[in-house]
Amino acid sequence: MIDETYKKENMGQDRPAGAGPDFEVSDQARRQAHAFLSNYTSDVSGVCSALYELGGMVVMHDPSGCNSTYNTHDEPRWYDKDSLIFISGLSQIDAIMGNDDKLIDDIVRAARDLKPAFIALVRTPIPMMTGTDFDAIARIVELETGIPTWYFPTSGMNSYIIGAGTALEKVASCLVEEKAAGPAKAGKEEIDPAKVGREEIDPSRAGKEEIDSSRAGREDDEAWGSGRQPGQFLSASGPFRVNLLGLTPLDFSVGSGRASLLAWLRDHGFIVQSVFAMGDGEAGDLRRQIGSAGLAHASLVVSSVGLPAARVLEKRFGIPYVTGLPCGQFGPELLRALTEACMTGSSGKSLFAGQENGSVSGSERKFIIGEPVEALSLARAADLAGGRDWQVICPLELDRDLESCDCLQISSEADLMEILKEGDRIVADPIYRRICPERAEFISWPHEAYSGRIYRRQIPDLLSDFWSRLL
Amino acid sequence: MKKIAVYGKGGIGKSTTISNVAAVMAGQGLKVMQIGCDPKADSTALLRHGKPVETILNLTRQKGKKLALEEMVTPGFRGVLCVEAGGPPPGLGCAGRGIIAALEMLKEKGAYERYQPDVIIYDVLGDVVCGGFSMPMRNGYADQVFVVTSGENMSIYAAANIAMAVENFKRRDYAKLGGLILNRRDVKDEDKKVRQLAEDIRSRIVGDLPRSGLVAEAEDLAMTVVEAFPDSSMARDYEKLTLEIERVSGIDWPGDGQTNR
Repeated sequence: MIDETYKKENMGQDRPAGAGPDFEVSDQARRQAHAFLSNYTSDVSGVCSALYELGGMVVMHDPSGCNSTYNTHDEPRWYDKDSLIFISGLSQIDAIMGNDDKLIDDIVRAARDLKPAFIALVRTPIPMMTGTDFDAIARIVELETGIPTWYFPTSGMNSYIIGAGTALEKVASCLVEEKAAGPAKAGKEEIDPAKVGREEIDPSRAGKEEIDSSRAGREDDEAWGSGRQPGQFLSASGPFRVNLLGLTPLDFSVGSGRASLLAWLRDHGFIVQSVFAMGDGEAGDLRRQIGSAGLAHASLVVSSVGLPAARVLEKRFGIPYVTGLPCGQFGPELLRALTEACMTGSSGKSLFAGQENGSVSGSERKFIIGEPVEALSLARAADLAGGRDWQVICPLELDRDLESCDCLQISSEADLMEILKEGDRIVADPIYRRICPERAEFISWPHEAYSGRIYRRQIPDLLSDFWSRLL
Repeated sequence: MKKIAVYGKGGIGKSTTISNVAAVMAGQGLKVMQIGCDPKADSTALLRHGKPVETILNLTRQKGKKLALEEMVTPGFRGVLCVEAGGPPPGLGCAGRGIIAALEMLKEKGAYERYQPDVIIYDVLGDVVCGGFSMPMRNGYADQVFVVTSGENMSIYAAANIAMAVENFKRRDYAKLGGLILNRRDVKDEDKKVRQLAEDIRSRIVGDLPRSGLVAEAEDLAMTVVEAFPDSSMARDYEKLTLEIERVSGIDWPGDGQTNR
């Protein structure tokens, strides 16, 4: 159902949904202005979200204006979990006079008291415009505190995809330790065929993230030719270890999404080596776990923000990665790709590359709008179950790994309205309902990074049967 | 890749001096990129026979992120790669921010990797009046700063300010002060004043350029002295200055270990 209240207040009683604004605007303004839609969480909040649980001190250099929305709108963990997130309180006179020493002194004093594991300086629009030299400030802070200090050149002009992606990339570069002795990647030569099989798992080697053998092997026993379940294969040193990359509340909220993903991996015989970067314990636990990410056999990237980190881990440690969310029947396909990556040490071809979505073979026009890895996974799950022709629309920055996917990158409200007016079925955050035709079937898929807490209770666990609503 | 930035009071002859130095370096076989950091966008005019270079900021305004690197870099005399940051019209906008945006755009487009110049020379407008004008001396940009000055009081005052900025930025690992370039105006006690300045800022005079009518004549031809009057004593003076800048900055000539030091 269309949002009637909004329609009456903002669009006029008689204006149909999707009809666009009732005034003349230039084409350029038309493509830049948003009259009905919201904007996604910014890159500044993206950095904070990705680093929230890692025990660092994050400082947004800002007057505490628009960026205070981080704790009010973008961070569902704010009241439940402590984190050292600060805003510097930049004043006009400090900006004019270039009073960087005040910022440096504040950070150094706080760091000496709080002893964070690292310090992150996050740029916002004002210091960007005045050209504050954060590289130099970070260098001085690091020299004075002895604490690793990073600078994130965010601008508030990009979405959380850029901010969280850059932050997790930094985590992969700086917090993951060089490996200790022992093989980290499972090349083919490291697999001992004699040990392949569930019975070879030695429970004594299992860490706390290890599989619960009683839950393993429940499905797809014949799915992969040999009769064994893919995840049952072992490296020479035991079950395959997997990093889970791209997990933040901005894409997965704080519901059951994280737990479902961990359970899926465990159920299929994998050990979760690390999670970038949401945990359920103390900050130090998650950071220690991430420190050992170099020991994984492969990474599973579950959202765009994990892709830059995946590339770093591949470059540093030769760890291959597979991208996708195990929704519905896409799960076994993803499982096979992940196991192959573990066994061969190669990332292989993207599961989304060459996938044709939204072709004209069907009579209905069907659109999914959202974070591309999640949306592409949903479309794939629907496609495999016969619900074909879903076209993915990404209103966010598209990672270079996803450029070859069949995904329309559209961020302009006007362009979205143009394409959606032909839509028969649309899956999107409820805010998009405002520009969808009234006749279209609207499937609500709230996104924390878009509508914040408004529809949080309705955010689905994508490993549940949500995908079946697309059939 | 060695990077130097040249500062000094407006009108003191920075662009003329730098263009001649760039021409000499190019004649030695070095690949030189000269980047004008001034909204007037006339740093490289003498290397281009007066033909204007499209500025990075104008191109950015017209084409946004789609602008190609080749559009920003134009070859000049002896193949010197000419780049102009550009900036807003007088009295409008923010020239300092413009320099930051232009230099970031060059980096983003991979200019240094693509052209791999042996030497980059930043020609910076006037004094270090704000963060934008300190950009060329920041870490990752210039390694050495040279200041052009005459014996005129305002010029010496500006040079002292620039030297102070370099000193203040020490903690930030910015460029170091390479020295003063004396561009003579034949004012009273010129030698004494500039030597005193060098002493005060604990630096030295790396070049001494006499006042010469040939400079103005070459400018009328929209050329460097090195191109217009290659056999003149003024051309020799620019060569001498270039050798000293190369020595201070650690710039070696290309070839099999051939060195100017």
